[in-house]
Amino acid sequence: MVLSASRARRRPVGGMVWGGLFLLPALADVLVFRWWPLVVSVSRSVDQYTLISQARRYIGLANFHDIFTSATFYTSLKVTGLYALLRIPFEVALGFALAIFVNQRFRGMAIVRTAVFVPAATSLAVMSVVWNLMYQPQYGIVNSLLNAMGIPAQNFLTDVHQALPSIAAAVIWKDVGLPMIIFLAGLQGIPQEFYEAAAIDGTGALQRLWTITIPLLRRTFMYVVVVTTVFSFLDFAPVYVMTHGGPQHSTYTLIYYIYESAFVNQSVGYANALTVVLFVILLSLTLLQMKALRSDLEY
Amino acid sequence: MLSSRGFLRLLGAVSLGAAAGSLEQFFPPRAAAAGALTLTFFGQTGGNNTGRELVHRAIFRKFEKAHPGIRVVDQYFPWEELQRKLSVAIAGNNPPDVIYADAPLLPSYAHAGVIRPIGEYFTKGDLADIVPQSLQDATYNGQFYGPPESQSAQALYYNAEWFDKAGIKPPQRLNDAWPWSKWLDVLRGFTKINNGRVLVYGLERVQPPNLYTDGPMIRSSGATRQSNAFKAISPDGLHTQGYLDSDDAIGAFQFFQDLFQKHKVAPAAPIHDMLATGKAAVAIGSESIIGNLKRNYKDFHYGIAPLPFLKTPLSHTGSLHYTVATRTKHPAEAAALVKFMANGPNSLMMFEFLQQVPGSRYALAHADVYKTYPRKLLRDTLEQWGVVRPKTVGYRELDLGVSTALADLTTGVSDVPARIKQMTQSIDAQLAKYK
Repeated sequence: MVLSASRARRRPVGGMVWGGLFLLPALADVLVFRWWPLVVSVSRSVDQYTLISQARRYIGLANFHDIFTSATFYTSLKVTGLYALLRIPFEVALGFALAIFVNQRFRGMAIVRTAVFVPAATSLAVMSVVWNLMYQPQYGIVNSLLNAMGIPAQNFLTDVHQALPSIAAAVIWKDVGLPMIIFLAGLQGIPQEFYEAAAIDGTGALQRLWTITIPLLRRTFMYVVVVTTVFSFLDFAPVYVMTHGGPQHSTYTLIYYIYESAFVNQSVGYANALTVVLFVILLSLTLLQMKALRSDLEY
Repeated sequence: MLSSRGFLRLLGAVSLGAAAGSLEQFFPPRAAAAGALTLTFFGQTGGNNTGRELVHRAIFRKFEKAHPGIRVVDQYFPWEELQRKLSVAIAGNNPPDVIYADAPLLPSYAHAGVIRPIGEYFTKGDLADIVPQSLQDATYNGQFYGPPESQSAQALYYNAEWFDKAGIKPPQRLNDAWPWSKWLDVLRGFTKINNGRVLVYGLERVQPPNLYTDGPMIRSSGATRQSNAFKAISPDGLHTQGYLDSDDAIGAFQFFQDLFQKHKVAPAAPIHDMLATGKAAVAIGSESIIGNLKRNYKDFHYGIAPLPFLKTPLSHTGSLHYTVATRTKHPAEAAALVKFMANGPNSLMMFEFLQQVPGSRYALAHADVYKTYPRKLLRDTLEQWGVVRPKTVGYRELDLGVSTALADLTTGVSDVPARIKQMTQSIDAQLAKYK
């Protein structure tokens, strides 16, 4: 069948209109709820004002001066860095290992995949409430299990040294399904011919992993590392629900500091300045990661 | 059969419909009648407050009946969400007409110009119906900002069966109240530890550490009501150094920490309903504990004892107030509404649900439970020991600073005086923005 010239011309235009219409909600979301708040945040980071007062006073870079001379800021930065270091390597490695595991064909594989991924689809706040109860020192299930094994009860969320790893462990459990799915998609995109050729050459499974799988998944790794880094810097609900930044500031992350500065201490200009600092840190880290994990391999 | 393009169109239409449906939450759940004047109100619900909204709605319907030209449009949120919602609505220049404000926050709202004085709408008789502590909470710079929904008083609530069995008879009158030292012996007696694991605690803390619950212990370390420890903050409400870090106050903070770390009579991590479920012998807190017991543990037998003290007894008071937004277009009608919401009969109706001591003298006089022990003790506590929380335009900052320090103490900060000095410095630095 031959399309008439006019219909052939009209069709792409109609498609573009429909495509544009479908893109509109996402575009509106990005512009209104992501970029516009960022612009407002930057413009208000040079003001002093409270959330409930309409009076704003321009104070130049004083908020930034206060940030960089504040011990609390460095504490929160250190806690955030530690949290990211606890979370990112474990989550990426575990996600990758799980992806390799569920990439095999075995009975019930779909159930395993679903079971690992379901927590990632649940609310972080709900997960935090549940883990808060599980970590309860006297009556929580985690300590009950430890006791059954003869291990003394732990103060998971009220011990200065245990609180941050405990939160990180709960979040890794919840989110590991996401890197798993991304790695799984990457694994299934690698042509089987590479493995078949390697098998003919007599390579072992570990060698195939190092020489084929990991190099070809470099871009996937970059994506997962960048996304996990961003998420780990922005995790708010677990800290808010489980520890409120305590004990003794041991879980006082930068994002929680921003919340407390804006909504409790009513220093909204300062909180905006902190947000700008966090944005710059995240942007720099992301660019560094993208550069370090860049790949020129095409397949 | 539907073509793929048709299917996509249908999907788009359904998505738009769903999006429009989700927008419903931003609009009033109850449309105002044509031509009627509308007043807006954000209230609280959820947890132990579930059902509070029904009382408010019943009051609103009565108000609308008495004022046919006015409709009240209400929305309800869990407590913490309500605070954020209010802050964001105020910041966005779109607050509700009636602002439901916690008593210690009234100065900050008044200072920021968020709420307006409404004394002109209240007669001397109206104001005389309000208990003195609520009147003090509602007054800032000599102006009256709004009547109370209720009041509060603190006490100890104990498992009556356990105490009977142990042959311990706690005091039932303020004059016989025990100091903390005596209560500590009792709490230690009830605490059961097995292999380092606490099976039963002496003391349940219903809320995480905070200024309302734990402030009285610290303030009671002052030898008199004129002492700096008792005052807790400077007269201008902008300095805590020299007050909360006075020698007496630091001694009290140390005693507080010892309850958790040395004597282990209270858990550092809060546990729900310990008293009613046999995991604690005593609970400390406001009358809301009774509301919870009545609703959820009807067969539980409890007794009430006066709040312990170190040197000078006191109980913190204060609850929610109804105030009028400065930006309302209908100040007279909004003032009429808040006056109606807090009048004697409606306060009594709210008391029936909250089981919390009313801020209206009329309701207090008509609530029979306050005529005899045990509830009379709470009324006496309010009237004789009741002290408003430290008055400052920066109450949020003050509460956060104290709560964080108290939480740190429960988890074992080694140098208590240094932590408290750091706390007062940090609070004062935050309060400096109001100078």
